[in-house]
Amino acid sequence: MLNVWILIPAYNEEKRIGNVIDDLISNKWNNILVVNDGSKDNTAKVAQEKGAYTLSLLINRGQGAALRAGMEYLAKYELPDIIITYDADGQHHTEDLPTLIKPIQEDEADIVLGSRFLDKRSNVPAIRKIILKCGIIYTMLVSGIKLTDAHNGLRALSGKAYSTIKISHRGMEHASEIIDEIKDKNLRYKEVPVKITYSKHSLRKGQSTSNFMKLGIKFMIKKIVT
Amino acid sequence: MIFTALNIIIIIFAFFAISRALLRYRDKKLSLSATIFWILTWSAIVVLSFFRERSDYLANIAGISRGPDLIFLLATIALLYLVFRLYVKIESIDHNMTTIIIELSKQKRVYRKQDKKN
Repeated sequence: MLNVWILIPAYNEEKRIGNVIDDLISNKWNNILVVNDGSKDNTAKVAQEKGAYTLSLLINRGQGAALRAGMEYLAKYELPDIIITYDADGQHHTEDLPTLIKPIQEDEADIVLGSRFLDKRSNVPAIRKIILKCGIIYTMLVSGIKLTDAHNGLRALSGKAYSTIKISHRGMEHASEIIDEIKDKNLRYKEVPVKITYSKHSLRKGQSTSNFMKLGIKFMIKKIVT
Repeated sequence: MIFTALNIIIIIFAFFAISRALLRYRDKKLSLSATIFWILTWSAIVVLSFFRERSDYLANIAGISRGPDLIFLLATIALLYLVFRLYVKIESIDHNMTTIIIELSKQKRVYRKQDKKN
């Protein structure tokens, strides 16, 4: 039986993480590791009460750091066949998970990336669409990889992928870094359609235009300097 | 050699800067190489302030019309390089801090509600 783990980086999501975990467990995705990224609320407590394993960072370090902590922990102690990175705010849906892991099960890909633009289920706000499309062009120019959705947090990684990908960016730039790593480490990748549900909270939390530009510049500077 | 009020100000400031560097070195807060660097830098500034006409000569060789312009240009390049070095250092410290926090988090046992009851 396939050993699949759901890895959820979470920061101040006590109001939403409970429903996310309930949804996963009711659909038989029982191996859940929540990485509490220095939350100021009861995210970790709620996650544990609902039946997830919880790893806590002492202070907030960013989603990149949380994912890195979770992947290193799972690689060392659980050796999963597949790690699925999943958002804590309810944007992602369990119905997409079988489609997400299928290419890895059939040995067609080492890493599978969710794309909200491959079907019409996601109702992407216009401004967000423009920002994301710019992200796709940026990714193509910087990493040389053409994707339909370059900044989707829903991904499935095989053992080869999670043990070779090294996340050094602790903030949201890690999304671009993962794509860079796909190219550098010659990983086979595939995109599958996934549904993203937007809420007021997720839109507020997501990337504004200025933030997106800052992330892009920061990623480029680090790429050149280090 | 030209001696003006500006020279006096530069000498006083250089003396202050060099003495601070030496005190920091004595307290082991500054390395020997960094101390020597700052002593030489401030000494060069003092010397250049007395021989400004020489800086005009050097500026002409570099294709710049005035000595002070050459000095400002070199100072700007040096400062940019220092900022670059500081940026790299800060990034390295930030990265190490993240690694320490991640390692600390992995040392605590990970459990869930069902495991606690058992």
